[in-house]
Amino acid sequence: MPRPANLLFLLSDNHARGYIGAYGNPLARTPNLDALAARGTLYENAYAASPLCCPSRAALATGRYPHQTGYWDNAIPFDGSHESWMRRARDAGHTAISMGKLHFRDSRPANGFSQERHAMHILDGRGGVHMLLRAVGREPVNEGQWPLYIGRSGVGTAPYQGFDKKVTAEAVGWLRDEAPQQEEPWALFVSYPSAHPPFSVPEPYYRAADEIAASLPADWDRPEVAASHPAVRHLRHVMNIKAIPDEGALRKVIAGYLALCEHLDTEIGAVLGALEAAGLTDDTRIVYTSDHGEMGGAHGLFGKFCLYEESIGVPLIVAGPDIPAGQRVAAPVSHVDLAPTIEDALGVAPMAKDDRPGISLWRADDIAARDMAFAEYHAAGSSSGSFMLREGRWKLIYHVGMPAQLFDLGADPHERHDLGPAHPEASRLEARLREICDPEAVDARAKADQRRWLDHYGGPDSVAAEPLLVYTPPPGSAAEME
Amino acid sequence: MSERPNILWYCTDQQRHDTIGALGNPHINTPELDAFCARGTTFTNTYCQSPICTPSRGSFLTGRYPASTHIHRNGAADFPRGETLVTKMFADAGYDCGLAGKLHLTSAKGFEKRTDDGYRAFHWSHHPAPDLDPAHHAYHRWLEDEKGVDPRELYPPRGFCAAGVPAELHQTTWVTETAIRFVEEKRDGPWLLSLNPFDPHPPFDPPASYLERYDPASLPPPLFRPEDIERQKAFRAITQQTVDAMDPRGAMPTAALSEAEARASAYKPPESFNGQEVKAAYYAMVELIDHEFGRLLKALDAMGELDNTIVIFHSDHGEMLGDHGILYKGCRFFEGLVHVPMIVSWPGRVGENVRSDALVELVDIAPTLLEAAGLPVPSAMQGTSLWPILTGAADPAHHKPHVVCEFNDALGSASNAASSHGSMYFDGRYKHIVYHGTGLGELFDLETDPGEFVNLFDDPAHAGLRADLMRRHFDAMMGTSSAGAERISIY
Repeated sequence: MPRPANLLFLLSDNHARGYIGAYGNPLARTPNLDALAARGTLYENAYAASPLCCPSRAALATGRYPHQTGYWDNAIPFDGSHESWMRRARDAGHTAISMGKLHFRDSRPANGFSQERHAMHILDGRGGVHMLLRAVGREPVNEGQWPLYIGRSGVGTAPYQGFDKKVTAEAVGWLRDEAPQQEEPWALFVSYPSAHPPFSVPEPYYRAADEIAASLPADWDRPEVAASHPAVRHLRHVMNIKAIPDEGALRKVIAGYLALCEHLDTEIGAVLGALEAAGLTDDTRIVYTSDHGEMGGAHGLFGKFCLYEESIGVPLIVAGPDIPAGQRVAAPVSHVDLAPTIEDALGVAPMAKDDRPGISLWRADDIAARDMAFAEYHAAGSSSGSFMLREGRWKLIYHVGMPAQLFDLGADPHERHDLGPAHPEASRLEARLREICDPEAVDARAKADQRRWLDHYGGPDSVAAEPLLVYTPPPGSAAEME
Repeated sequence: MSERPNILWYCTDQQRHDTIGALGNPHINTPELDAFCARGTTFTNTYCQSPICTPSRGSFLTGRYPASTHIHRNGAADFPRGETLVTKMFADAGYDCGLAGKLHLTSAKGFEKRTDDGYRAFHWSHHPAPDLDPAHHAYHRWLEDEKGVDPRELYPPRGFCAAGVPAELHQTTWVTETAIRFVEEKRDGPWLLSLNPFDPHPPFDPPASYLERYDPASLPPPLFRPEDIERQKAFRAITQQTVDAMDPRGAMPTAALSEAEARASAYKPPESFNGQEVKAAYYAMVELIDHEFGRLLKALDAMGELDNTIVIFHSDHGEMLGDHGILYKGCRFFEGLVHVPMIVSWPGRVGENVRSDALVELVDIAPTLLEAAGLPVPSAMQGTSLWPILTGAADPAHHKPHVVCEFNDALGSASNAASSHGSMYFDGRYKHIVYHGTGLGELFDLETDPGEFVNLFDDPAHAGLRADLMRRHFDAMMGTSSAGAERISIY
């Protein structure tokens, strides 16, 4: 068990693993995160619990998978009715303070934080109600998604970046003025909406698309390979994903995304600088991760919404006192590991009976011995539940009512060759998956919950008639609707 | 508007060829299909490649014969690797493909494990009764979520022939509703929509409002002569849901059925029946299909989608409907079972009010649709495109010299479901049938005996004809078997 110390939890949005220098991308300009990795431990195979904001963040809060809590999508977000690491920390006498994007239902004491500043939640307490329509086979096409990527990547500004700066300023001020007054180890949760699209970034960060000389994402120009699977085909339809017009258009999106990641890194650097200036670096552990990744053109896809590595894989870097420097861990880890990790770091007394699926990262031997990661998805762009089981080189994506996908990540790290459900490894991994949950039963439960919320909002016809939300606005900005 | 046509592919289940008013049945009311015949080209001699769902659908969805697809059985564990559905080809060519209703290429008990079928939207409802996995049953989702109806209450045990759910809650109606929503979805490219309602498959349970439109006594009785009972005895070991032929002038069953018996009535006929009563209910089911099909076409027209849409209407196989004392289906090749309706339209492109009496097969549909959309027809496809007839470039009286149909251990739901294997060869006059491995066969001269009452197979006077037909039949069936991968070297 580690000695109790403060915890700085830095969370970004939509930051794919591959867009950090320390993860091996020479084009990513992320000096602050790279330095954090150099003095800490980097997890090479970390996974979110679900590839969408709300279900992912609910799993981060509770340490449980969506099928264990019922926080399925961006209209059924965390609402504090389940136990969370922050509530346990607060109830144990620690300050657990949040700044920035939470994407819960709304601010309420039950969320568990001692305080929420600049809290960003789902829009009007309702959120992405259109994705509920998936449960009745009527999810509409989100027309704004394609222009969000192809039309708006480049030099410009987006409402998120100004909000990021507010969050940074608040965190810097807190570390300077309030942290020194804390008597018990504290948890500061700093959460940015970047690097969520639009990838519209000011000049100092944006570098011309033609400078992006690196190799382009796998199969960006062969979308039909992945789209041969009906789940991907449906995702493309709902997210209005078209053929990427040409290499130039893709390079522009990637240039915008890289620039946004650099902006994010700068904000993180400012917070880490404030920690240093306050003299707290030696007494504070730092965790950096993102709620999910970004396809970034791989398989011809943009956004998250699926269980490919670019979407469900996340960066995870931890650093601080008693954390080995420069270490890289290949064992698969999950966001559900973070709740017990944070509690251990603060010195919160263990639960009498902890039935959460995660393992505290302080239990390095247990982590090293673990050989699998699980994730699931029941939200926008999916007609039935999908489930991931990563084990060693193998990765199964099980789809309810559709053929399973199997990838040999050892030989095929970019998931270009679906080995299909008939491969013997597919049935073996499916059996392991079924030890965690019954996919068909979970799918039915998710849809039943979504139908109940549809009824709550006046039924499918009424919800279908509402204008469609393109992305959640930060506080103080107007929502963008189609 | 995209250049490639949309495709509306409406395939009913178990609908006989002689169920459209305009094609010569004055006893059935099908105003919408009658009008549709006038707007398109009707193939009056269309034959399925199997009298059973899965092999028939596997054949017309691949453009290949069952002997090549190896899709022979209802209830199959898997879809064969290496077979490609034409819907998948359309999806790969940029079509947004959807389905409402059944697919039935593998076992559909509980739910159907999909293959790489090309469908982006998959609104599955194999059959309307509430014994499927509710999570997969899109029709039941619609009943519960949008109509506020509990499917279990809507489908209490009923007999094999009785008034069923009201039209507004019927699966056939749901198919149209789902289709309209699919077409309304926003998309750039063309769409293909497979609509596969379960009707008029038994149980014969039309809405009461449709059933009351038919007076059983006014309908012609099934094709039947008393000697049929004796004649069919020779075939009682060959798979057939009606194991023993019975006089179709019998009484309708009145005993109440248990839930299990009621569910089984989809494939297990009663102990006795009245053919006119059954026909009334069957026609009423077809009339609901007619109404809903017409409503769909009107909706497409109102959306401006009809002008650029190929519409094809057909069925996967027929229904004995009491002919020769037999209900339902099995390893038999009577006209009622193997001869199906087929009509195609595309305003301005496909001939209007054309009747083609050429022999055609359902296996011809897939290459026809590909050619109509300007897509390449893979060499592995065995059907022959009907596009030249549809566009007036070919004589509508000639397409192929014969048609074939096959049953190869296709049906697990008959009480005598031994591994029967039968095949049929029909040249437009003579229908030659072999029940392989049994020594049994049938030979009908449809010119002199359109009702198929006189089996000439063992008639010494027709031995020469039979020998000639046996040779042609043999050649035809061998011709349905694909030689497999292309040759790339001489050895």
